[in-house]
This record gives sequence, structure tokens and C-alpha cells, in this order.
Amino acid sequence: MKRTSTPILITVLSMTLLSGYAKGQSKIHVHGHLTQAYAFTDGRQVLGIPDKGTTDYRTLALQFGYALNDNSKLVIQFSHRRMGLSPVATLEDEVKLDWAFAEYRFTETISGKIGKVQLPVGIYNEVRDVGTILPFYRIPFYTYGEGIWSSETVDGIVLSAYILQDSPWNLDISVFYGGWDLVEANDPTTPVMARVEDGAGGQLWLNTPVDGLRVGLAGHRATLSGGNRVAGKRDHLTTWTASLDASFERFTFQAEYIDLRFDIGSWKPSYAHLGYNITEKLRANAQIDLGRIKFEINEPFFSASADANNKDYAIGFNYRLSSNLVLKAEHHWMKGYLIDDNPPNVFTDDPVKVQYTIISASASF
Amino acid sequence: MKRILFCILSFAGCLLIQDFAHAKNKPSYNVIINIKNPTSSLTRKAVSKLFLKKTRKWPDGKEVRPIDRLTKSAIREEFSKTIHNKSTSSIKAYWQRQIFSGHSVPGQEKRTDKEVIDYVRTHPGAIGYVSKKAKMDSVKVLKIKK
Repeated sequence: MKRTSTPILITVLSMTLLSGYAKGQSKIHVHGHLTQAYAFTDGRQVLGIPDKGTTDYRTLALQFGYALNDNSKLVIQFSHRRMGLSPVATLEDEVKLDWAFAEYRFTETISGKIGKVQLPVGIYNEVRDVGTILPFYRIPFYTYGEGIWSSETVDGIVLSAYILQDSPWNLDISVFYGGWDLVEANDPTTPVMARVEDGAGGQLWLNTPVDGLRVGLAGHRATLSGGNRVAGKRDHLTTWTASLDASFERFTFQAEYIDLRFDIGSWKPSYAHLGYNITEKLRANAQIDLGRIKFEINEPFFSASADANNKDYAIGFNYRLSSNLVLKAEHHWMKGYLIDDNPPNVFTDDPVKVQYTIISASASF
Repeated sequence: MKRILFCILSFAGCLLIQDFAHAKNKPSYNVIINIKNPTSSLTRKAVSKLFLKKTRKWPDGKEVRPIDRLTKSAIREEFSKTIHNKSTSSIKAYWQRQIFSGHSVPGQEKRTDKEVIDYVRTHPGAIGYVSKKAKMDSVKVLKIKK
């Protein structure tokens, strides 16, 4: 599905939704979420956060859905994001289309979506910015990226099935095909847009008899063009994601590992997160987010190799004023190469240490 | 690093064991369905799946229409704990994940027993819960099996 189809899809979906409102139908739903943060670092600038601090740090989304009948619906979501002084922000529109898709339910357990659809990969990819359900301001940065090397959606199709639903062991399976835009930031100060085409893959979740415990495996292959490549050059991407998600009433333990391979190297991030509800309203969170990057470039006039580690250790507390309103305070110890100002050279320099703090409030309806 | 991971996993294991110790009380509510619905009994887990829209159709093919109660009501908290084995805020978090991943939206929320009974009476696929004191002559009480 080409990018040019998106405006047409938005127009069709918007007209349908508006006609639904005009008829006063109750099959329409409207939901939204907002997170506003204040963030500062102890020196260097990371993730758009300067040492002097910024309040220009927020995410917001508004979603409209319309059920055509019991088996089909249309959903559209718009979002707005500010990332402080991040160079990535220069590539983003003030308001962007998050997703816009039509869903048809073939049977009770099999459904399909077409349009700009959430990419079903890992625990958090489909709910990246929903502050009221995330343990920290953002999902693990090295594992999921934010703004760079990642996409929340696929322009194409997603087919989903729920298998063995009456068994204690059951499966959620999604397969997808399509393309998506992503931001490449080999040099974090000058990010560029690239395009993923022919992305094909899937996500498998095995739900266990223990309520809240599931394990997942995802994988996809794709080709990458544009960005830092010379015109006409394409890279091949292969990604595998393994996930463990244990979400219980008092505590949560999550861990994921990604193996992303491209033509000249690999990116192997992983994280582990532990959350514990101290009281019904107060929750403590701890997280280790790691990202190992390996490069090996062998061109006729240039060859180099690198094997570098990035780390982000975090602790935080969430205070839930209500189910729709959460306050968060978190502190991170980061050591790595993805620094906004004068980033160290991954081939020759040592990693840089930075500490940063984020205080945020999230609401949803 | 291995030592830190070992400590985290051990701590997580202890919390997991603690998490399974739930106190179970006799419920003070009845689960009700439309009087024309041929179903007469279901397991707790099956009822949970209906309310979470993991099961979307009744055996006769009718669309399931779950009706919940207001978030802060005592009956909602009791229902969440005894049917879903989770707090109402955990269920709300589940729905936020469903909504913002584009998968599903929750059913309506009603304030009173009468509003729930009126809805269930007039919608063949509806399922709700009301206090045991409520008059239920126009709806069917669903038996919950263990």
C-alpha cells in the first residue's frame, strides 16, 4: 500500500465518522490520552532533554471509532508529540495521523485490518505513548526506539486469530504485510527519513494457564531504502523479538530481547522491568534497558568495525490518582552513544554517561 | 549483571507466590442475562471472557453485550475481584490497552441495578450484574460454576 493512499483513507474514514455523528448513532466511540512532562539532565542533552530542563515534552492522541455493524468497524487516531530539543522532532508534523484502518471480523476468533494499522510487535509497540498504562514516561528506548528505528504502524494489512480459546494454553497470532516510514539516526544530530518496503512478519503470543503470564515471539523481514543510502540501494532487515510478560495484581515482570540484523551489522537490545504495587495507588518500578550495536563496514575505500554497548538503568514511582490519572517521577542513569549534542563516535570514542529525570502526569478517557 | 538479574528474578518469584494468595468471599451480586438467552450456567472464567470481550458471541450466535457498573462502585470492585481475579483499576488498565491498541472498546457502564436490568431485558445478547436485593422477574439469573 503506497503512502499516497493515506489521505484518501483519512477522508473516507472522517466522512463516515461525521455522517455517523450527524445521524446521532451511538456506535461511535471517542477516546484520548495525554501525558505532559518536565525533564532535565545533569549535563549532556539526551532524548531532547537539555540540562536546563524542558516542559516541551508531551504526547497526546485522540481516537474516533465507528462500528458499522457487529463485525466491522472503522478507527482513526491522531497524535501530537513534543520531544524537547530532539533533532528527530524536526521531521515530525505537529499533528500526525497515528492510524486509520477498517477492521472486519470473519469469525469470532479471526479478524483482519487494512489501512494504517498498529504493528503487532512485542509488549508495547501498539501502546507506545499511553502514559496511564506505561511504567515510565517512555517504553524501553533501546529496545523500541522512539522516533528512530521504529514504527508504531504498518501501511498494509494485519490478520489476527485467537486459537484454542477454550484451552488453558491458547494462542494469539497476528501476521502482517506492508511498509512503513522510519527515522534513521546513525548520527543523532542529523536524523533522516527512510522507507521500509515489503515488510512481512508476525507475532505469536502463547497465553498460559496462569492468568497474566504469556510468552511471545515475533519476527519480520523487510527491505529498507532512502535514508542514508545512495539512491537505488536497498538494505535487508531481519528482526526477531522474544518476550516474557508476567502482569499480576501486585507485581509485573517483563523482559524482551530483540535481534535485528541488517546488511552491515546488527542491533541487539534487551530490557527487564519489574514493577511492584506498594499500595493500591503507589507503584515502584525498576528497569534495565540495554542496546548492543555491531558494525562491520567493508567498502573498497573504507573499512571499520565497532562493537558498542548502550545502557539505561531507571527507577521510578507512579501514583495513581484514579484509573485515568497517573503521576510519575523517574530517574535514569544512561551510558552510551545516542547523545544529542556532540555524540561520541561509536568507532573511536568511549560511551558518555548522562543522568536524567522525568516528572510527568498522564490522563486518558 | 548476572547477580542483579538473579536477584530480580528471585524477588519476582517471591511476589508471584504472594500474588496467588487471594481471599474468596461469597458474592453479593447476581449475574443476569436476557430471559430468552438459552444459556443457564457458565464458569467464572467464561463469564470473565464475556465481560472482557474475549468471547464475543453466545452459543446461539448473538453478539455479547456486557454491561459494567461505574468504576468507583463497590459492586464493580467485588465483581472485578471475584470474576476477573483483579482489581477494577487493573481491569480499567486492560481496557485502556485494548482501546489504544485499536483492538476493542469496553461495554457501557450503568449506575443502578434498575438501569442494568432494563438494558438486559431489552437486549437479547446482554449480560450484567446486579445486587442480590434487586427484583429480577424479567431477566434470568446465570448460575456461576466453579
